[in-house]
Amino acid sequence: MVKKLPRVRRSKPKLTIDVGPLLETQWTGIPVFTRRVVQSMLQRDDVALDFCWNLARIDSKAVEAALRVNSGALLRDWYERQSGNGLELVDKSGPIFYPSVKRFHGLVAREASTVHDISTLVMPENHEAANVDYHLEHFADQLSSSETVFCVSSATEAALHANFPSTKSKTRLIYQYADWPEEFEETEKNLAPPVFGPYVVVIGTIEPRKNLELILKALAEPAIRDSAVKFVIVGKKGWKVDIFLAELPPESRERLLFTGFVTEFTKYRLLRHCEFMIFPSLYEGFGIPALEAMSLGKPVLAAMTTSFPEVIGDGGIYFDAYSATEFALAFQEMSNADRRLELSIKAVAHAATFNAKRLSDSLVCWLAEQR
Amino acid sequence: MKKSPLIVSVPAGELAHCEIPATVFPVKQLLAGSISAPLRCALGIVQQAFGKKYSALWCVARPEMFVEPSTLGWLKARLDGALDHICLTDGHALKAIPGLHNRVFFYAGEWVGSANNLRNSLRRAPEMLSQFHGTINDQGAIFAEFPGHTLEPEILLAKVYAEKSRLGWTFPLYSNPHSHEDSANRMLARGDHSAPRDLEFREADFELVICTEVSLQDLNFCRVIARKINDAAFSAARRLVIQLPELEPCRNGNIERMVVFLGGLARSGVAIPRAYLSGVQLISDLSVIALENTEAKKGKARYHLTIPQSLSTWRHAGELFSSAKSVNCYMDETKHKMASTVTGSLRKMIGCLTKFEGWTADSRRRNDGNG
Repeated sequence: MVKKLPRVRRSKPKLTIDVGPLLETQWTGIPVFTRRVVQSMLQRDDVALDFCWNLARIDSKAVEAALRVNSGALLRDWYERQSGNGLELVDKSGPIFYPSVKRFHGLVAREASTVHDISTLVMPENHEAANVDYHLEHFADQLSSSETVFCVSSATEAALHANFPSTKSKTRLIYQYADWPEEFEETEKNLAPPVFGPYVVVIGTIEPRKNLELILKALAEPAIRDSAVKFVIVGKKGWKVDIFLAELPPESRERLLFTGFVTEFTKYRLLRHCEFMIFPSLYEGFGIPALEAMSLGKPVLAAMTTSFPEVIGDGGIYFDAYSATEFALAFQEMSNADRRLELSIKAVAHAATFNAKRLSDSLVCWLAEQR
Repeated sequence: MKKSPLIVSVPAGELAHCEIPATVFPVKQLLAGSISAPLRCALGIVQQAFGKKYSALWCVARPEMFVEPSTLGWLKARLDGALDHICLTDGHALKAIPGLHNRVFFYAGEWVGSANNLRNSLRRAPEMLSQFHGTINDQGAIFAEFPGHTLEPEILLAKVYAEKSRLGWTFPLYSNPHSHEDSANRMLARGDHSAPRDLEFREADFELVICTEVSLQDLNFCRVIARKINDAAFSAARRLVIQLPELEPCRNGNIERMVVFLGGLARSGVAIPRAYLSGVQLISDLSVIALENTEAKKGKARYHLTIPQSLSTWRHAGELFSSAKSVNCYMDETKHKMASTVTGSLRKMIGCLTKFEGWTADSRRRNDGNG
């Protein structure tokens, strides 16, 4: 007689996600990355999720409510009210994933931190001194106390390995993805297209590292000067831009449209109707705007820097970040409708390789790893 | 055997006032732009030392853009087989090019902000030094504080006076302890730059002290200078000539330099007579005393030289040191534990006649008048 073995019931692995970035009112950058991490994990049913901030547990319903309204205002309010009453501590034995700066080191059995970029170390001149101090003062401790360090791109991973070789054995990639609210497409269909005429979108002017100077310089290049395309620049106008603008002839100045800060829907609309996107940045940890444009079938004219080749792949054309001449040549190539169509197909396909499952798989693989 | 180019990189701040045609460009374009005096001198020295060994001298703007295989491959395709890279740094960031033989040349060691920045970077990310194989003209000042990675030191000395054409000023010292700005303005009003001072300095013995911004943070050095000032104030036999510290280009006016100098004197706690001290002259530049034309070259030196350990000795031709009757080098007290490293480097750069004043506990007591 065969003895029946008791059925082993496998419990789901636990994961606590630090949702501190979601307490911001407006979500851009790291809060958006955190939202995508949470959303991608909520789509799975093979992990028992928990949430925290400052190692205190946060009610999953409050997190889900914040996701629905796409803002952390209510979540922060909930946190302030509840923390006054005393919140429960996280499970010390379970793993914690930090999507941004890891403020506690070595308090929990398994900790994973995320590195978005190390620009504060390699280009500190583009940051406020206080920001450099905040990011770097305990950075080495964050890395050494993490079981795993997630990097948002292989460019970030390579930079980390170069400057902190001791992390080589503990890094993993975590790729985010582009997503748009479902209603955007329907709403947009009922609206007339923007009236700029043919235009390209340039994202981000706030920092010198965004390299808008190159575009302003290139306006004098024949290939661009003779084109009818306008440049819609999404983001705040930096102080240095005004100096360059003052030096531009009026006909060049008129071709630049600065939108200032725009909502996600406006960004969606601008991308949906543009010819292509220009991303001249000198340094990006990942470069999510490129992926967002590609997800809408828009190829990207990008500087050959940092993470762009892996994020844009063959869905774009690259140029030397400091060469106005090379930029103009690439612009000319991209102005050809047939070439754009060819790139557009590749852009959509490449963008689709970055998806929620890929993101959440990175975390699940880490959870499954034998310690 | 085919020669390859030598690659250099410079801080992003130095590129701001240069016309850069592309990411990789000839160094002569950098020299044609507005760059800081120490960087210009450092580039000149590198050119002098390596001009014949390499096919060309090229600069890479922002090497931090290229770390991941795609971008790095793109860069290397433009480097014509280059194998060597020198990172000329002002201390804000250290940048290596993966796969190349990287050396670091810290050219801004006289500036407090730069020295602090470099020290902070290395403290926060000491592993970053593993990307480098050697240093150029390091006087053992900062890298030796982080002994985890041994870097091969290399010394390149200036063969000519790099900045002899600058117009110099002399000022009689005046110190109002209540307002450095007032003192500076009064000295400026009595400043003299109309006649070459060479003859005057040739006639009498004098002691030449060269200050740096870093040395004026060192209480012991400041006390030594203050006492020399008081001795010279009432002595017709030997005049004291003090070169003002050179500051970062954005604040390198004579007023700012005098204020920094007077701040150091005030910090010493030694009282200075409140009168115009004709026996003590501040000079803006060594060209004022035209050392290369003095009798010094004929072995008739008239000056005793006092320098701080933080002086970038590589910026000066060997005659400055070899022609002096004596050279006293004052060590920063924080370098005490590295005395042999630092004196070893300096001895190679200055010559073996140098007398080093190390700040031992005993010598401190002696200088405080308590020993």
